[in-house]
Amino acid sequence: MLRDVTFGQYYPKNSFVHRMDARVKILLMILYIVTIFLVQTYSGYIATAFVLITTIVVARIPLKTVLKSVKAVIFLVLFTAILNILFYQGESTTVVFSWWIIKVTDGGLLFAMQMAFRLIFLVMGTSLLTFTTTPVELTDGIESLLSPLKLIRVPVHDIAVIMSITLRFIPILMEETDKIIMAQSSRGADFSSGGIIKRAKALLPVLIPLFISAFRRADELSLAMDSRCYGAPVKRTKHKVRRISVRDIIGSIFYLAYLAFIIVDNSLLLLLI
Amino acid sequence: MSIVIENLSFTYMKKTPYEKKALKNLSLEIRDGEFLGIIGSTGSGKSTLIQHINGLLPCQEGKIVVSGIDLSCKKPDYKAVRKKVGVVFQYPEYQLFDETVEKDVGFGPKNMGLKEDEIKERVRESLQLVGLNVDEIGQKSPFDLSGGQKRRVAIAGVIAMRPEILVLDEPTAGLDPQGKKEILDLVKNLQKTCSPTVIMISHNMDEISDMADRIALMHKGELLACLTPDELFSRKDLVDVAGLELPVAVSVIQKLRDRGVDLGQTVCRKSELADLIARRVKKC
Repeated sequence: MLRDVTFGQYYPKNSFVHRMDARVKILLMILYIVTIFLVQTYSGYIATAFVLITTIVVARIPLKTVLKSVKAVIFLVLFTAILNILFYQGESTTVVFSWWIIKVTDGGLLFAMQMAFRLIFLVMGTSLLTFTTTPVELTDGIESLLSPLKLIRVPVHDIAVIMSITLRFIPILMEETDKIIMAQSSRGADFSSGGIIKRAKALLPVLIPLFISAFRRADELSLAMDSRCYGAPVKRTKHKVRRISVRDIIGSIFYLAYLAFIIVDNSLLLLLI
Repeated sequence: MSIVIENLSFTYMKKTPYEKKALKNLSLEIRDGEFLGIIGSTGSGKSTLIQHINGLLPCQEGKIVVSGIDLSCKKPDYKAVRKKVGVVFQYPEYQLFDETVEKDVGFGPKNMGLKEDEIKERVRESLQLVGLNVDEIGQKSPFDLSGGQKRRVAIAGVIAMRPEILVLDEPTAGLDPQGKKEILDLVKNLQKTCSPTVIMISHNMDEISDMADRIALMHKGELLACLTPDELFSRKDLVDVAGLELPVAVSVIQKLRDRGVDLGQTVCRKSELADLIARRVKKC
């Protein structure tokens, strides 16, 4: 069923990571992404794995669930790895295997492996953000981080509302799709056999009611928002005011230490050369 | 052929933090020609149960046999069972999709692989059964119809497959009193003319005790009881556990008892209550 999608779905727990401030988590994730691309040495990769696994353990999320999110991009990882192996030679050019215009070098193999690990670490790390942060906290955090843009008249609040509505409606529309699929299959609709064109045609009885209901919901929602004076020119207050806590400082120190380690590690590498 | 369900259990989103047990060890037999009502609060597993009856949800645990088709075996014949069991979901009008009413009602028969004339015949017949005329509205877009008409068209789309067993999930939800009465009369009529076995979910106790031969009471995924309306509503323990509202007739009998007039038995239908009172008054 459609409901069984795990990538990026909130994983309810009450851990150290779950209770961190969403803004801090978003910033730390950006820091983590940047750092991953700085990593050049084996010890750097080990440090990244250590940071990642520590975060997973502290967040009390089963490793299996996190690995499932990698499944969604495994094709991309393999594809880039194969391209890298075949067409990138790297600095060291000891030929391992060659055929026609293809030359596989040990430098290329090394680079392909590094890229693959980077992508996997990247996806695992970023999925941890959505595993430990509810969509509401996330949009709240993004709104807060973007708030300086208000000075140049960017409608930050509206953007945040649009984002949270979008996120809110994904499960609703999935459930709706499930229901319509059930109704049409009990009328004998067949979604799993035939060629591409036949299958695409078979989706029409699902898509049309789905669109109609999406528009109906949008209409109802806009009415509901209007009747609660959305867009009135008053300063809004927050239901939950977030403050930076000790937890956030500890988390930040941990990730900054990781960045520092990678930078020192890289400069040591330069010194050696 | 009847429906036999034995020790059926079902869990949504197994092995995730969202895991939810929707059915627990449920056993039930539905006889041929029976009108079975299903009641229970939201989330009690009513919808999950009916989705098992035509194989929309795979049988995880337990046994379920519908009209001789085993749905708990490894590769159940879903196509055959969907021909035998027609399901009218909640707000069925939201599933209309085709350009014309005629095509939409013909969707089921077409999927069954019937010939063009046969489909036309069935569309005419089933629209007539729900009280609509194919010559009048057959070429209209289903989205141009009124709410009540849309629901009728959606029901016609299900009965066009001529199911032996008709399952309805709250067919009167969101209709006005007149519309409700029309749909209930329609259901009664359908049982006589096309689908002898009817299973209906409802939240309206008067409606369900008026129509059903037996009522299955569900609570938190379990089947608490399956009894005739009169038996069910005289069981105070069951009524209290499930937090049921009482049919008007039953609450009148209870209030009379509170005021010292014991009618001696519990009945759910208003006409039977009137009989009881009339007899009692004549005796005095």
